[in-house]
Amino acid sequence: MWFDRASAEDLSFLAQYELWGGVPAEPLRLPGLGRYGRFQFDARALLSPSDLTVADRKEVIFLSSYFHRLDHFELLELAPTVDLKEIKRAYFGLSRRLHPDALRGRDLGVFADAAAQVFEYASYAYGLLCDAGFCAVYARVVAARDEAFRARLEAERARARAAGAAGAAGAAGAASAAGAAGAAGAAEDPAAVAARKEALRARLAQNQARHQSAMAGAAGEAGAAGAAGAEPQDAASQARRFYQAGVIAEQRKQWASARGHFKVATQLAPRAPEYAAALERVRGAMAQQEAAEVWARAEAEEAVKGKRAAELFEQSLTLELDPKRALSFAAKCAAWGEAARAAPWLERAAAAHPFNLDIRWALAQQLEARALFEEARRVCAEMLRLDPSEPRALRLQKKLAGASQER
Amino acid sequence: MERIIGIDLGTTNSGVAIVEGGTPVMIPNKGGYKTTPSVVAITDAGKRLVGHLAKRQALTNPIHTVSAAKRLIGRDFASKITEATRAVSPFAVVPGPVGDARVELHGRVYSIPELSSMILVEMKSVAEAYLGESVRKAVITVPAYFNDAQRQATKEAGELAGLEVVRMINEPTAAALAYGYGKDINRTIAIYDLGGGTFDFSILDVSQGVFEVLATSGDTFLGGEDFDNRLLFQWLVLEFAQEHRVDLRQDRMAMQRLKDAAEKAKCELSSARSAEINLPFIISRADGETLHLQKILTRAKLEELTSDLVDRSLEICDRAIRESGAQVDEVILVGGMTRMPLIQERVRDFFKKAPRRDVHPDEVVALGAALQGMALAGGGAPAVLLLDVTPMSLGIMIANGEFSPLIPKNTTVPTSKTHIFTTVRDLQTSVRILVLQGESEDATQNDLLGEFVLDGLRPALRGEVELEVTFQISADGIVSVSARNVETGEEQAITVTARSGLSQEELRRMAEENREHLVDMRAQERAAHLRQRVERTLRSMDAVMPRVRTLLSNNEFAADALAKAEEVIERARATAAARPSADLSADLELLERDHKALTRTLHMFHTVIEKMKR
Repeated sequence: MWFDRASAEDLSFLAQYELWGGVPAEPLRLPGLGRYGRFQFDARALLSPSDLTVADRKEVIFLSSYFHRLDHFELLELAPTVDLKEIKRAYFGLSRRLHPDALRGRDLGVFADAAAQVFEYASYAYGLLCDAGFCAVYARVVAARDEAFRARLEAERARARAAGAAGAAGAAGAASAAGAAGAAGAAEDPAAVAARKEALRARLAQNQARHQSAMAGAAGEAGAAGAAGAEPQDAASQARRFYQAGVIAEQRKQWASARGHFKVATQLAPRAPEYAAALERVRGAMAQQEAAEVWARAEAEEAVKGKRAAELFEQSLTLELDPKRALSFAAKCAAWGEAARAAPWLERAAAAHPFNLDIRWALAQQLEARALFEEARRVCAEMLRLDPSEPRALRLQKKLAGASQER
Repeated sequence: MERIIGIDLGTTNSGVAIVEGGTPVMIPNKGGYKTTPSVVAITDAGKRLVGHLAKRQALTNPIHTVSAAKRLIGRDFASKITEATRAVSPFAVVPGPVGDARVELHGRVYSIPELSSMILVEMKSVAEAYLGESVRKAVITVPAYFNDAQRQATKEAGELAGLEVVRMINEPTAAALAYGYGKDINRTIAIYDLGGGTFDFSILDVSQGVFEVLATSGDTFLGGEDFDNRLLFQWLVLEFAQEHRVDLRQDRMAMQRLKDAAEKAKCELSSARSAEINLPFIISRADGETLHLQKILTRAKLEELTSDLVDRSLEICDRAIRESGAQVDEVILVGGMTRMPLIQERVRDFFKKAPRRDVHPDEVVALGAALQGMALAGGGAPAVLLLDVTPMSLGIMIANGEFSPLIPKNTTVPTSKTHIFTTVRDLQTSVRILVLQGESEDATQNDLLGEFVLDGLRPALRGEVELEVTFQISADGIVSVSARNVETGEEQAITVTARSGLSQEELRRMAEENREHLVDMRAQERAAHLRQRVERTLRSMDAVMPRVRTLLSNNEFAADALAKAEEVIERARATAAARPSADLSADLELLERDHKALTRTLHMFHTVIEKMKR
């Protein structure tokens, strides 16, 4: 969790602000990558007519699609700092590029709304950071989060390295890298996995305990640390607060933040079905959103005849098996002459959407085209079971029957 | 690229400027002067006169000559300020159809924007004569402390003058632009702008060509006119009455002459130690004797008469500096009044540094407006970028007559803010939203900008129907409001009644009557708000308590009251510190009870301290 390393006072201070003043769970920028990390720019947007320079277009696209995942420092392209001069310099620099007055009289094309939105959000972030009290705490928490993230990244790398070593030198290395060397001993691979899981579980429990004590500490500071009996009530009310913050974030479609809040809420109150349902809902929404994003990117890639288009389409379908997209993908595959590629997706879409006749129809057609008549007939039968008068299925069935007789 | 001129529409003088080859320059009028008096007159022949011509005939035509119309712009006829202006103006101020102040000249009623537009037309023609081409776009300056109504009215004046008002910028900000343009500076500057009618004070951070306003404060009814009026009414008229038993105020022409003389004497005293006011044949007495006025005005006398006005301006500076917490590197004086030695001296003492002398106090505002015009004309990266703020908090009145601010003052514009409110009464199907500007917690003390009604709400228990109200302030500082029903997601039909021109009294009455139709904050927010207020009162209580204790230490009757007060304080402290319980309404009740008791106690203590002082 991002707040593992932040102090209880800082957290309770930030809790006064909407969405904790905006601390995303992870830093977006990975060490060693540029401003935009691995962000994939929409080729169509970058080439669309607009008076903005390419650099400004990139900035606008990146910030408008990711501002909810950036902390205020990342947004302004700063390392966590409390130096107001530096914050001002960054914000003034951005203002000179994206302030509505600076863009006046220029035709922004498709970027008009996004640019306005980015500047508005940057101004909001800047406004917060100008408050010295807030900025100090925020910088500390963000730095703590980055530190926690870096540590996690390093641990993961160590584990990957160890796993690689384990392939060559045996399982002992893996076990020791998992931090459970003593317990697991010179165990087999499955045992090492079990030990790792155990260690993770222990860490989770530890984090939870730490978080709860942090919250209790904050409450205690408020001067009302009650009797021991107040404890569960406290966790429940904390959970409710997280849940409420999550709902706000969800309403604003700030999915990552909503997911974070709901996650904490479910951890604090594991038995509340409401929270778990909310978490699931947000996860679904995030997958949907990402699927749509990936799909759009794939279309852009396709438009410029990129090689990765098919791959991206599939990625989108993996995230969310949208029947319309699956159908469209099948049509695209047929156009590329790789009809077989779409088959497994159609199968899965058919399984996921049992009452969708169109998918089945596409599947049946495709099977027929690939001369898998038995399969096609089966699909036809399924369609007719759903709707005995389905004309397409009837036609195909007749055709298939004729074909088999000919043979 | 089209030219955008910059116009400084001042209370007493106006100016127009343009950027030529990267340098802003003032455009002289036909008479060769760089500023034009903001005076409009209608002659007996029905001819309209503007500027120097109008000022010159003011003596013979006082009741049909309007000067300082800006003081009335966007004001209600019933407001105190209009009343004050009526008392000192020779021309007739009359109520308009929506309660606004208007002026009657030769039987025709003119709205204030109409009069201002005549001045703008004059400025426009000055620019056109100089440029040899028609001008359609302008940046117009307004006092930073103008409210929404005054800004709207100024914009209207621009439109009446056939100008597209590309932007209205604040006068002190414009001055800062002109001062900082072309210099590679990186510092915090304070602008002390005491003009003909208004006082503004702004603090700006300037670096990289970006001018960021940190704080703005001011008084729209403090300026050179007030200094003149002091001289006129508290000295000249008074002394003359004592000497000759004649009230000069009866004679409009005499007053006009006197006013001119007073203004001239005031200006002379900026360089000389004393000035002579010599007005022969000022008035004839009933018995036919003709009287002359001959007086020597010393600088000391002027300073004695007006030093409290200077104090008032410095108080405003002090507040703004404390609120922004800024360290001022440089002080710039703007406006003709700042030539007064007393002001320069006091400003130097206050800021502990000498004000800059390299700006022209009468021209710098128009030059800044021209620079902003250039920046907004587009075409390449602008040389200057303004980040201005809203001078007053914007909010609405909520159920108990309180002001709930949504956009606090000194927020950078353009800005928008959305907030959710709920109904106050069971089965309430319509709400009335009163939009206000000001700093008081009591809504009736603030300026009413307008009201609108949302109806067709679903009948439900109170607090169940939620309304999302969105406020926007444009870069011009103009407010717009919209509202949406959260449940249905429908944009609610908004009926914005035209600015109705209400006095404080009427506003109070309206608040009383409409109580049932207002909205309220959501219960949680209300609790948080109340808790804050309780905490704030507790802090003032802590500050007062030691004093009260010592004052009442040897008073037997007070011991009992003191014990009771302490009980109240303890209880309030406990309530404020307690965590929110599940039952919000019970929390609210407790908080409200404690807040009331606490405020009462604090009030009592203040009274006690006041009494003991005497």
